Amino acid sequence: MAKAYVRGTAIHSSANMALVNKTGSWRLSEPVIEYTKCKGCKICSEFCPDYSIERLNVDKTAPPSTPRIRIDMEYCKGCGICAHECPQGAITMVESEE
Amino acid sequence: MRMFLSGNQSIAHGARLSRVEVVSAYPITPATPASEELYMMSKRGELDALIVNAESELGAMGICAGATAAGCRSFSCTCSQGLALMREMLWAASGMALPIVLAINSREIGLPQGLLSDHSDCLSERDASFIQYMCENNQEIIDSLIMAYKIGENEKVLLPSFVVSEGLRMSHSFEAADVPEQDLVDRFLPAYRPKHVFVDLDYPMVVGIGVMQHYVNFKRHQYQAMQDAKPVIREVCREFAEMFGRKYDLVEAYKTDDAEMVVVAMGSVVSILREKIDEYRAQGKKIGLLKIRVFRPFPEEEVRAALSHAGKVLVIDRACSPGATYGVSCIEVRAALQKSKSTISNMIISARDITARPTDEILEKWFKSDGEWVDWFRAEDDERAASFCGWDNYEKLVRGEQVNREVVKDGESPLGKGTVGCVGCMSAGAIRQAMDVFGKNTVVVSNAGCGMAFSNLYPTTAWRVPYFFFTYSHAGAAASGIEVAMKLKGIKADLVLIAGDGALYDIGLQTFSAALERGHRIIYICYDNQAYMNTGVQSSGSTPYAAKTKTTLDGRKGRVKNIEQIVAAHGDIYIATASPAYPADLKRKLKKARKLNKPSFIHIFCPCPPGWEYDPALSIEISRLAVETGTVVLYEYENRKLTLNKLPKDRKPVEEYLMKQGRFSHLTKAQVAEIQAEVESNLERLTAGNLV
Repeated sequence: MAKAYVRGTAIHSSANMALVNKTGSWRLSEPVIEYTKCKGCKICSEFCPDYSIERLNVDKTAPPSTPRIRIDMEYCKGCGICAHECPQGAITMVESEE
Repeated sequence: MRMFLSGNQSIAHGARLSRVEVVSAYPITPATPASEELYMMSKRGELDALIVNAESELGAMGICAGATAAGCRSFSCTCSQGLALMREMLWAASGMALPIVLAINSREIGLPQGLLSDHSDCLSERDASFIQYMCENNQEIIDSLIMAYKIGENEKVLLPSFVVSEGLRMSHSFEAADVPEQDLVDRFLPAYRPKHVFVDLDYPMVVGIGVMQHYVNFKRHQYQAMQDAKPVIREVCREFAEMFGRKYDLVEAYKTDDAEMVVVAMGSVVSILREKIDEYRAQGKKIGLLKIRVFRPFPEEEVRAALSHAGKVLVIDRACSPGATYGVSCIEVRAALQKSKSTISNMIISARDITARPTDEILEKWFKSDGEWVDWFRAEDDERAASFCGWDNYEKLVRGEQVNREVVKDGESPLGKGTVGCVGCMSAGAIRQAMDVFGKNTVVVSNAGCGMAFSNLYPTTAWRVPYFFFTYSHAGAAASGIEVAMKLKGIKADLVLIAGDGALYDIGLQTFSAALERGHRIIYICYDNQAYMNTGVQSSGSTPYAAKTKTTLDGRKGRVKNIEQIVAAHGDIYIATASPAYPADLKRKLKKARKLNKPSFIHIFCPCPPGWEYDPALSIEISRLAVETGTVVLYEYENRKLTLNKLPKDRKPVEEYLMKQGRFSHLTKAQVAEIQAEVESNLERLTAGNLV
């Protein structure tokens, strides 16, 4: 055989190839953030089951409208846990258009 | 009655019509819907059988063997790994001459696992002394099941049987089938009244003992029973045709009389081949088809008769026997034709779907060829998948080159993005939270289950540390082996075993217990979603009292197995319960486990939106309510000391937690009160510092 083939079903790839699973396409509703309400407390990012919310390192003195979290819409499945758990009510789920 | 049925529903109808008395099965895809259908039939009052939830396939087969030994007609359905796990019990059942019937939705045996149909599971049990019926369509499943009991229970035979269909391709495909009337079936198939093995206190007998040098005699009886089964099968098929109008036999020869070329096949592929034979006949080719309907006992005579005039034979195989040149059924056909001058070629199709075009491709290749050949159909490596999996890295390693792999950096989790769990899955949430505590120096072992399925989907994986998936039942043993080897090799890392409740409470309890007892330094994380969620919500040892699942349609009657008490019985082990609603508490416990030089067991309660029936947005709220109502108590247990954490001061009534979930929506006031009382007594015990 000219090419070696991997025995033992092992995955030798160098990067997280699961990133091709763009689960954002599953979404039926979209999280919308009101930055003025968000305090950057990290509750949403802690509870997100899909690693889709990143807490940005924003200084406390920054103006209230500064984005303090970022939702990765490529992977967010739209479960709504973040919106349900946010103590400030800063996230609302809006029905997706498509 | 004409009905539109899936393969799994056909299995259920076949079992129902055979008036099976005991059913026992264990969840496995794609066979589970057959047993779920039996639960539904039982609930509707159409099936008068006792259905027993088994803790594993080995258990299911054990229950069936026991029930049949005690004189009941019993039934189970499984496939793939499940059948492999049953193996020991299969040989016991045939050795004890117990005419059990097993419906098999054949599926590839892992590893690697697949979800299509390859006949390796059933055909690798060819020596287990089970009669094997290879069904072509859903009608044949129903009819074969009914006939299988009549044949197996015949005193000249007394053998168990497999009624084999194909996973997903048949089990999840719908076809119209004639479901016979019960009274007609009753006239055909009398009740099971064994004379050889049964329980009767006035007629005691001892069954299944060591026989030493007499073994050979008993084995010869088994051999003879298989031979004797052939005329019985023919006779029963004839009777069946008289009553129900459908003809079956050991083989079905289609246009073979004047055929110069004959294709031999088993299972669903026969249907498309039959159409193709007509097509090629119309073009003037003298071609025929031989369907092998019964693989054990192998119908040598019939095969010889049908193929005697054929100069060219092509055997299509769904299973191979590595080490043998030919596929499994081809080996048998060649043995039957050893004196013939035919050229016998063999196409191994394994799990490949064979539709019209692939059939043409296979046949055209065969028409053009002169000599004998063996080939695999469409089994070339997928270049794209190979590049995804980094086969080039492997090639470099083989050449002795250095490969720099990207590893987890400080502060990064061993589990990356791109997991494909259900929307709002809290098992995913909990595993993600837990993994935040670990870094590069982590080795993960996993059982089968949601956790394995949502993080790995060939050719991708979201894991970025060494990760092993072995089997469902033996992850505890495999993890022990890894721990020992890591010690030998001086690899210092956290060894984490991630398992669901089914894996630790039920099927994997034996190896989990042995690993605990040996004291391997393993951190066991149980993501407990309180049922078999990966196979579509069936009751496990962790399913709460009164909860509805597909195998406890009126709510579970039994109580949850207290896994902490079982773990504590193994000696010095750090035990902690955790909830994804309290991430800091969960992470603190895992950090502690990492520091300890002994086994740890972290039990995390993970709500499951589809299984518990609630809006996915409520996953954390329900996790929290479980703790706030005292349904789930967070604690740590170490050195015989129990410490409670996050105990709510004003406990909410348990009803608040229960009524948020569809699985409890049927509860009566009395049941809620009963659950509340159980919560109280459980809390009383724990607050007194008693784990047991």
